[in-house]
Amino acid sequence: MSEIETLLEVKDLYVNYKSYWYIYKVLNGVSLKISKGEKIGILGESGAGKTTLLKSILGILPPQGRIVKGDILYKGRSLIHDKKYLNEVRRSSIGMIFQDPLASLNPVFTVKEHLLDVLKVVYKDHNYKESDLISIATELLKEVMLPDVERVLNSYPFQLSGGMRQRVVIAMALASAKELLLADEPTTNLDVTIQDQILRLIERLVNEKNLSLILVSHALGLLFRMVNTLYVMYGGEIIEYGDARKILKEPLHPYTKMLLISAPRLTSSKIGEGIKGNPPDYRNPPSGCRFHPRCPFAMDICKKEKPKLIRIGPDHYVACHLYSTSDLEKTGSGI
Amino acid sequence: MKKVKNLFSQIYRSYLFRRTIISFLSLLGLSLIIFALARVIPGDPARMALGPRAPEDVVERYREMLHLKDPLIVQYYYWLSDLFHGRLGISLVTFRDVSADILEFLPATLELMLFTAIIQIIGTIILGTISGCRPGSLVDGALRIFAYVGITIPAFVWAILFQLIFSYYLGWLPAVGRISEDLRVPRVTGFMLIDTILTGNVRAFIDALQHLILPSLSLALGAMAQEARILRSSLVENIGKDYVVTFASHGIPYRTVCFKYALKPSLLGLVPVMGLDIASIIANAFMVEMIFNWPGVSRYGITAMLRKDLNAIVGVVLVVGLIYVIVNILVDILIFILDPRIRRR
Ligand SMILES: Nc1ncnc2c1ncn2[C@@H]1O[C@H](COP(=O)(O)OP(=O)(O)OP(=O)(O)O)[C@@H](O)[C@H]1O
Ligand SMILES: [Mg+2]
Repeated sequence: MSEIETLLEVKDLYVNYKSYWYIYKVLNGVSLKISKGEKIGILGESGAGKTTLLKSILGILPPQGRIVKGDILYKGRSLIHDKKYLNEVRRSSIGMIFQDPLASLNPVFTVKEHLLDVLKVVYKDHNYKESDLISIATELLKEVMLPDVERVLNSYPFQLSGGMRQRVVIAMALASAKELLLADEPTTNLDVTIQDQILRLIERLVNEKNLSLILVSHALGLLFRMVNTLYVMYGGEIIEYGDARKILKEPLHPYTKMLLISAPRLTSSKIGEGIKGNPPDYRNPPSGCRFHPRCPFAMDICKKEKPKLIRIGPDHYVACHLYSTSDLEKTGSGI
Repeated sequence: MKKVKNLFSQIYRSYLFRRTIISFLSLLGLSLIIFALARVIPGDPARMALGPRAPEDVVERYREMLHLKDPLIVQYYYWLSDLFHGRLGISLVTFRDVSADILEFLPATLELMLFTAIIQIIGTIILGTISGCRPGSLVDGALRIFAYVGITIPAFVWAILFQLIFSYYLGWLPAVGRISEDLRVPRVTGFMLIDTILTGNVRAFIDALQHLILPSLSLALGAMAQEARILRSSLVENIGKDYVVTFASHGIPYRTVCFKYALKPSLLGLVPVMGLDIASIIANAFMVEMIFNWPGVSRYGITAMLRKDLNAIVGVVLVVGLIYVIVNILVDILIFILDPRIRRR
């Protein structure tokens, strides 16, 4: 990337989940960079490790999850090694919208309790009175276009519709997202008719507030429109990244190609069902390229050696042995 | 104030009203069982009630009084109305009114139960939360062992162990009774802790407290171990949930996140279990009261059973049933307060 200030940098990240019997080696050397004002997208089928990646950034992996290697830098300082800095960043720089709006609000607290407790830490240096915080909360809820704010504030999550809940979640995320917003498939589990509204809302807010964005989404249309850089994940690895439009139009990695073909074009419905075979077994992931068991072009070397991300064109990188040899043109256009 | 009033009217209108009716029905069911115990099962209830040495004409008069010649349903009606008026008959052992006996012994048992319940609740929450918020820590490991031990060892074994260790060997705490011999506490409510305070006798209060510790600890331990494990595992589960994690993602300190946002939903599953455990303290108390020579209803009940003192048995079973029902109603109220999904339906 260029001279623009780097906001967030994930460096060679490895994340494992531990269960009673097994170790799941999920993230396998993920690197990613986002500059100020940049908007990046992450694409990948279910189980690719997208949520794991976003949660690692904020240090909110479940108790079974561990970062075993790598580093995460925000404005050059480590979020992993400096817990105080991490909390500072959580409070007032990065906000996250969780995947499932039905599961991301606490069932036994009101919306008001949610927002006030968050605002209390976000503005803890301001000496605000409760009434000040309530008016900030009201403002936030209005920003996400919730009607009847008074009622929403006093409601419990189960009294709100899915769309309303996701708006509340977005409002909460906005409270801390002063610089960077992480949105993890923000429309999963929502009614199709509402999905579009929510995505447009996020788009508008990000543009208005000039936020940087990491968007996990299968809404190709939205990605095409909104995102500068696209990362494609498979089996806990970034297998292709670069200029979003270029990748969406001319994908290089066999997995990306299959993923885009199987996707209903430019809609927001879920993709990933269309590719033959299963995602890797993280307990015992395939050697070499993790995609090789499902890849129609798999060669001998794919089983042995993990392909490195190599630069193919300006702003286009791919990790695939098909492109590390010189005669890539022949095989590359196979599908 | 208005909020409180609203809450109560809500309680009355919906959930609790239903629950009270259910409790009432279960009480009615209980009364049928006790009636069967008192009237139907024994060959001759009057003879049983008066004992083998009572003269025949007295027994005959008693039969009249009990309406034993009427159909069962009529008998049940009379029996129930006697029950409502606290007429439980005479105890064959103490030769006093059973209701008077129970009134005398009940406070001691209730005091023991309440104290046990308090230890149990506080212990469960402290142990469960500490180990749930820090899974894998030292406290967590200790709790795991304690839970296994606590579940396998019944209350009366704890009672004997504690008595041996803390009274006989170490001499830290009294072995038997509710209060030391030399202390005289005038009876006001029958609750020793309250009576000592009411009469302003600090030394007696401390003495009574010391007497309470061992029996209630032995009663609390098993359930506490089990409940703390339940709380621990539901905390561990909740901590990974997005609706808890989201607060951590805003920079709210882990302690607050765990103690507040993970704990409250975790308590929902725990409260009913806790309620059952607290209600069953009285069942365990039978043995423990014997061991600690605690002048409570359980000890009275055991003596009654050994002597086939039918009226007293009926009275004790009734009290046990009532306690179950009351605790259940309390549990329902607590769940109602904790769970908005029930409250706002
Ligand atoms: N707590 C956990 N314990 C064990 N494995 C886990 C845990 N959480 C996630 N995983 C595994 O890690 C892998 C990646 O999960 P993750 O949620 O990051 O995927 P994702 O890309 O977000 O998928 P989706 O599109 O379905 O949300 C999955 O195989 C999942 O089973
Ligand atoms: Mg996910």
